[in-house]
Amino acid sequence: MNSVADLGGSDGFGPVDTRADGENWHGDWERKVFGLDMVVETLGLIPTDAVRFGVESVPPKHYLLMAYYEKWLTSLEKMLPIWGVLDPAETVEETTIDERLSESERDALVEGVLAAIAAGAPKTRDVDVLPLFSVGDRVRARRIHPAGHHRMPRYVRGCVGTVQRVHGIFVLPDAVAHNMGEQPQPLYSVSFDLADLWSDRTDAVGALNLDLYETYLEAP
Amino acid sequence: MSGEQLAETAELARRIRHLEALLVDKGVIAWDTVERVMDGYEYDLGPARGARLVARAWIDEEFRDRLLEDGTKAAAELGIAGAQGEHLRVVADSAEVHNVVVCTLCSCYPWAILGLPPAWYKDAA
Repeated sequence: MNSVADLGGSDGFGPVDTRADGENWHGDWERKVFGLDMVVETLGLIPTDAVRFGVESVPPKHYLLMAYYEKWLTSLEKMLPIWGVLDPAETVEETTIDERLSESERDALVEGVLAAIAAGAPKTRDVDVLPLFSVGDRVRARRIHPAGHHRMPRYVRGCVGTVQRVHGIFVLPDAVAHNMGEQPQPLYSVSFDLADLWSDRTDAVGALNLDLYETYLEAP
Repeated sequence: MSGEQLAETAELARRIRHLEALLVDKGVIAWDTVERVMDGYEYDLGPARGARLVARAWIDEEFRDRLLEDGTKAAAELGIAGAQGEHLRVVADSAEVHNVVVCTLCSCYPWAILGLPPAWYKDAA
């Protein structure tokens, strides 16, 4: 979608404040949101791509003012019912909630989630797909405006770059986010000249390398 | 914290508890699952693993070559792997080239080697 979250190239946000306080969490609630998201994704209840889409679709006037982890929470609240994990109409009297899991089930659950996190979840797929483009090819970022989840920033649409690397065959976030299968396809690193991308706004010399899926690209 | 901030934090905590309650009621998680997972995950979280990769590359030129060729495989040599580290690519600075690596769309970050990103990385600025 053409989300307000796609901020690349936007003016007006001021300088980056790199004063780091070294804290991961500013409030226990942030840690809880992170953990809840991690558990829900690791259990395979909602894919990461869907959580991202939930964040992207926070209305602009709220998105710009909302704290970072509140966006994750808002996304989970929206996506858990959409993905059938929770009933949209459901409310619950917290005082009446008993544990459904036995102690050994609870232990196994925690161990399983931690083991899955430690193992990771690769996004490559072993399918027989011939990449359309090769290293050195000139490619254009297609002028497409998908309504759903999409991983090409708007500022590069229509620009021509050079394929730097063929990363391999990866699942397509646009499809996974909306439960439309994986649509595994080639993922490329494409290099765009800064002068082409930002022309009159920069005197920087160099390139921007973007990871772009094959469906985002066309021959120039 | 101001009164308003306290109220906001209390509301956020209520929303989180509500989601947890619904999930506990369905037997998807237990009340202590999130806390226990975070305790386990945070134990080792931070940039020390990334520092080890870099230090090794500085003193071992063949490792450096392997790291630049296939970051994921090279990291695994040092026992480094896991969520947000499955497809690791490492690039080297030189006298002519300075690399800046950033997620241009959200806030993706290589948790497995650098831990969680600082607040400014996730900021709109």
